[in-house]
Amino acid sequence: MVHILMEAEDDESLLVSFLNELLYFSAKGRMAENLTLIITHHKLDANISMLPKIGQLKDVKAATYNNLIIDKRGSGLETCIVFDI
Amino acid sequence: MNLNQFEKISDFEWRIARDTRPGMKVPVVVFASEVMLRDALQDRSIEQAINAAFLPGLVGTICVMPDVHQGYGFPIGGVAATDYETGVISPGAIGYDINCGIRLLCSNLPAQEAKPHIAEFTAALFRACPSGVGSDGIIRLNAKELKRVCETGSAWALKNGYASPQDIATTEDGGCIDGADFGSAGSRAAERGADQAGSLGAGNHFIEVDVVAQVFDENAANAMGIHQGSLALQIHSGSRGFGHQVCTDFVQKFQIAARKYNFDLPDRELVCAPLQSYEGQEYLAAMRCAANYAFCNRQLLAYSARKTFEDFFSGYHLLNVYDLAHNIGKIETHQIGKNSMKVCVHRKGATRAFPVGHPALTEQYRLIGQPVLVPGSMGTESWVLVGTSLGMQKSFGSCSHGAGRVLSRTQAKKQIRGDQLRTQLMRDGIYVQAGSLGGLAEEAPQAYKDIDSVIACIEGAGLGKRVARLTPLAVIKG
Repeated sequence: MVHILMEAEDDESLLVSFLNELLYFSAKGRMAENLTLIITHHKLDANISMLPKIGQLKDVKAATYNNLIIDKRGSGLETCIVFDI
Repeated sequence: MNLNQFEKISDFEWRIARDTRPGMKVPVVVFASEVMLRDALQDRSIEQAINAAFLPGLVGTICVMPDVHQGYGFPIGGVAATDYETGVISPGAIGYDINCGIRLLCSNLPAQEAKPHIAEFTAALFRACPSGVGSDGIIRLNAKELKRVCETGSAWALKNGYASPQDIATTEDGGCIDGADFGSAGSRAAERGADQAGSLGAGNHFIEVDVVAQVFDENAANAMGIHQGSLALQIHSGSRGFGHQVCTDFVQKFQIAARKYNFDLPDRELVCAPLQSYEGQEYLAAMRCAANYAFCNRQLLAYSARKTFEDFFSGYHLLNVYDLAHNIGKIETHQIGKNSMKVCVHRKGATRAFPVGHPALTEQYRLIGQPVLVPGSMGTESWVLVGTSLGMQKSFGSCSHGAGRVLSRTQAKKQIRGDQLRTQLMRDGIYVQAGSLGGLAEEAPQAYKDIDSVIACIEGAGLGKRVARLTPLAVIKG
């Protein structure tokens, strides 16, 4: 189990930062199996159970800020994130 | 944007005025034919070049190469120079794969003699040069050795028997950029870099076996050791996970720095910090570590490829022609108007192309100009050019880095089947060794611009001069 605590200046930054955290673990041969996330006021508290990565089809360099906007849709949030591959 | 918003300077130069958008610091110049410019307007690359013109402390113009295509924040095929004292440095204007670059080696082996053995030779190269997603490299570095690699680049390879003095002399900056500080790069980059030295990676990285099909400038080709009909080898790779992590970390750190320095930027991937600030200097030192790692990485791959070649074709040699960076930030001196200025040149998907007599060039190339390596897409031709004085004036001594994409990877995979492509390439006499068929489809020739049109624009704009043309015989994709 991996515990991640993060804080960023806005939600977009928090999202990119968190995804890049997952990519870092992926690069080290571990992938998220289950996760519990609590996000409040640009802060993130995550508990992630990890599995050893078996294979990977794509070399994902990073999650980017390219045209990144998080929109409110009903009771949820929606965004489109571009990865550098 | 549409064509009416450009001022036509020549058949190969188009200018977007500084007052096109409030906040632009400099104009944008696109080096392209009208046809290629119209194509470039189909994606966001020109918009991204305009956004790049908002970076604080820019000098001259934002330069856009004929192979431009949409990147993340900053276009691929873009060049921006910022004042050394008052300007900024932007990780996004350099790219995630810091010092991604190309190396060309040329042999004295007639390709005709090699042709019957190409499949076997390529398979041996594939085994000798690790490739694929997250692949481990030829060697594993402990923390002490990794620090040395990052701070001394290819000199580490020379010291440890993986390079010759000729390799070092024919690498941009001698394979080492001074001012690298391993501590600035961070522990995560170090963790990712330890296993990957001497590995090709995946994506658009490749090793290609070529024949020198045509020589246009005998004098320059002789100086480079390029002979018509001979076998040549290209290696395209970068700084692997080390560089990706450095860029990721600093794009994140600079989100805060950009606010601290009140930079109002149209795209968050363009975040930057003053070059002379603590943040700017820290990134510069870390970026140089990644650049040196990449120089050493390509050197290790070249060592392994050369050993394979010499085992296979006994009695022949494979000499380095040149190794260059096409994703990098460099401190250089350029003429801006009437003033000679020290600037930070950001080249993202653009190659340095210095002319005859430039002091940064090794003695071997001072009389002919810097070799500029412009690989075509898989299955098409590649070009060797030299830098020009005109390029120094127009584009901060920069040139194209390749053909440039016209289809995204996703589009390419939808339209092209990897197995059919491999069959077609084999039918065309190009042996293919690929880690995955999907990855092969992404790099299909149809996904890229026509390389000959790119070269015509480069010559038309005066940014480079033709030396030789290479035709592929075999390609290795990660």
